[in-house]
Order: sequence, then C-alpha cells, then structure tokens
Amino acid sequence: MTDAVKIDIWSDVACPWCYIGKRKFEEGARRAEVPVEVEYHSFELSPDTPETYAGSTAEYLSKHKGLPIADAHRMLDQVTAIAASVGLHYDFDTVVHTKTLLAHELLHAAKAQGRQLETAEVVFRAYFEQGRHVGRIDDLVELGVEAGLNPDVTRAALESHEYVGDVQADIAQAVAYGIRGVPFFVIDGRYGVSGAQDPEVFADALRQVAAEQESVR
Amino acid sequence: MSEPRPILPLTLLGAAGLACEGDDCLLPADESATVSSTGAPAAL
Repeated sequence: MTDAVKIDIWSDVACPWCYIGKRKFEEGARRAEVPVEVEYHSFELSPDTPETYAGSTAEYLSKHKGLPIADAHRMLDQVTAIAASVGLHYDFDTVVHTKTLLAHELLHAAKAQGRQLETAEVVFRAYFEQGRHVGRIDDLVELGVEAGLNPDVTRAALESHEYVGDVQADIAQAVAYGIRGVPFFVIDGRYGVSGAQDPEVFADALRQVAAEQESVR
Repeated sequence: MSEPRPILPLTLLGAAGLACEGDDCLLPADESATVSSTGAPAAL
C-alpha cells in the first residue's frame, strides 16, 4: 500500500483562489485514490489590511485598483461563478475584509490540537460564504469551537500570540521556496503546483509521486 | 518556531493556475481582457 503523500499548502484565508483550489485539490486527491497528509501553511497576502475595512469588496477593488465600480462587480461575479462551479457559494456583498494574521494563528493553534483541516474549512466558509469576521479573537474562538477546538486553549493561544512565530516561519519558508502567489501546493517536498489548477493536474501529480514511492520499495 | 528548510529545487507541475499575489488575484486571461482597459492583467 502506498504511504500517505505529504502535501504542504500555502494559502491565505482571504484568497478567493485558495478556497477554490482547496476544492480542486480535494477532487484531484479523490480521483487519484492516493492517501494524502495535508498541512496548511500561512501566507499573508495583504498584511496592511486593517482589522475591519468599512466597505464592500467591490468598493475595496474600485478604490485600490482604480476600477470603475461596475468593473469591480463584474470581476467579482466572474470569481463567484468559478467558485460555484466547484460547489462554493461566494457572497462578496457580505465579505468582511480584515487582516488575516490572527486567522493564521488560529490555524496553527488548530494544528496543535489536531484539527487544522477542519478549521481551515470553517474559516474559509465563514469568510467567503457567511460574511463573518475572521480577524477578531472572539470570532475566531467561535469558529474554532465549530471546528472542534478547545475554546480556552484556543483563546489563550490567540491572546498570547503563541503561534505568531510559526506564521512568520511559514512565510519565510514560502520565500525560501520562491513562492510568490497562493495557493501553492508542495507535493512530497519535491513538486510544486501553483494556483487553483484543474483537479486532474493534482491527480496526475499524486499518481506520479505514488508511483515513484512504489518504485523505490 | 523552526528555521526555514534549505531552498529546494521544486519541480513545477502544470501551467500557472489562478492565484493571488499581494492583493492581486488574477482572473483567467480571456476574462481579464474584458475588464482591463490599461493593458495590465486585471486583478482583484
């Protein structure tokens, strides 16, 4: 039997392609029928974002990119349609822009509690589908509980910033790999897949690594 | 906190997919053409 293939995924909570890429990767892994061990790593795309941006995503785009508001809406509609194609229900009208450092700290706290994958799913869903705030401790503890985390342990970790060093280490590792954008998937520490690729790209990569593992037995 | 592992020669698989760099999240090329009036790739 093939050993589980290690998948390291760099992503940001506020990255629309990261949640879409998560779904595409999951579908690829299902097709490949290769056991995988997934670990999420932190990548903060926009560290200058305030805790709460008082405006819609379309307004943010329009202001920061100098786009007419109608174009911003059209772009968001396109992303929403792509998300829908993989079963996600993005609602950019309710997304709360926020700095994602604390959310990354939560994902590390979740890893320490053995619930990182469940927590990643809960946080992505909260941000893109449910219009919930993912940048404040109270909200993150609530999300953590939904993912099965211990509320007291999680709150203590967030309040003390216990894992901020791990977040920075992830970012440093991304730089060492030459990662400039997310999502980015490192498969078995040897292969890189950049972006939200079609499921078959992931499936092929997993089959290839599994075959290589078999050939050296 | 662990030190970054040495830079590894990752073999890239597949063409570049949809990804975010900074606060730019590129749209598919054919669709970005419909929203970019500057010649630059449209981005979120």
